[in-house]
Amino acid sequence: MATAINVPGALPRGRQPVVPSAVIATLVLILTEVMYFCALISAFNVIRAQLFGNWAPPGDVRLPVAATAFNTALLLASGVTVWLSARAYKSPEGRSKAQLLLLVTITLGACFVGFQGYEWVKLVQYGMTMRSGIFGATFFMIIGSHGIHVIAALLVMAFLYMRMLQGRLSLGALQAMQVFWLFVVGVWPVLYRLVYFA
Amino acid sequence: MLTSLFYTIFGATHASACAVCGIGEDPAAGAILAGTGLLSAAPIIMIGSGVYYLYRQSKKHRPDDLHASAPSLTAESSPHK
Repeated sequence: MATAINVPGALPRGRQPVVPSAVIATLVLILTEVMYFCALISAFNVIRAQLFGNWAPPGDVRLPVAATAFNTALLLASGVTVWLSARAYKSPEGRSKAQLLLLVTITLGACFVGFQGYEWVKLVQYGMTMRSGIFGATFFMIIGSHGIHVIAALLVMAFLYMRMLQGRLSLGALQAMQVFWLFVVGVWPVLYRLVYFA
Repeated sequence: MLTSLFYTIFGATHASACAVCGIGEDPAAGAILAGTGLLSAAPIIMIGSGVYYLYRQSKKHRPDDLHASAPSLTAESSPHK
């Protein structure tokens, strides 16, 4: 009579991690970046509270709330497209759709950065700079930090898009990119509400 | 623990004299305390959420598939026939 004995502790050959290592690494990075933004937000609140009643842009400057609202919609749309892209990439039939959606994500992100840069140039022309006062310093510090994250994410996304076109992109790498972009998209409405409606 | 409880109940006035928390301006003190709360809670919430997420993901790939795909030794395949 045959008896079967399972070897304890033996792993099946070719076992994959439950979560891709790239995603876990990106989550750890996001954890540190969230703490960075929490520190900026906390400092912004304290400074604004100490200057209660005197918190306004210098001179006749008015923050472009409406234009930035449109920008926010673009960024939120890019979050949707990157999520759809990663989902489509899971199946071989959805690869071309994933390519298109990733390209749309990059385009929307680039438009966001372009519009923000244009608004910044106008603000500087009207006299609001990092040296014009504490309002300008905190504004450019917080919004600029987010902008740097967006630009870095766009560069990486463009690189991954090239790899996708070559057929050399792993699903884990795309999911890691997706996670980081969703973080960038998710942080922006908080900063927008905090800074533009202060 | 009793010492902590004692200071929590009777030491509130001393905490208000803190140069940071009891800064004198109520809005600033509130902002500092809110910021402290945010910076204290954020890592706990994020790490806890991450651990829970990994736990849920690992439950989907439970040891059931470990036993199913682990190499097995049968009497027929034993070298000691």
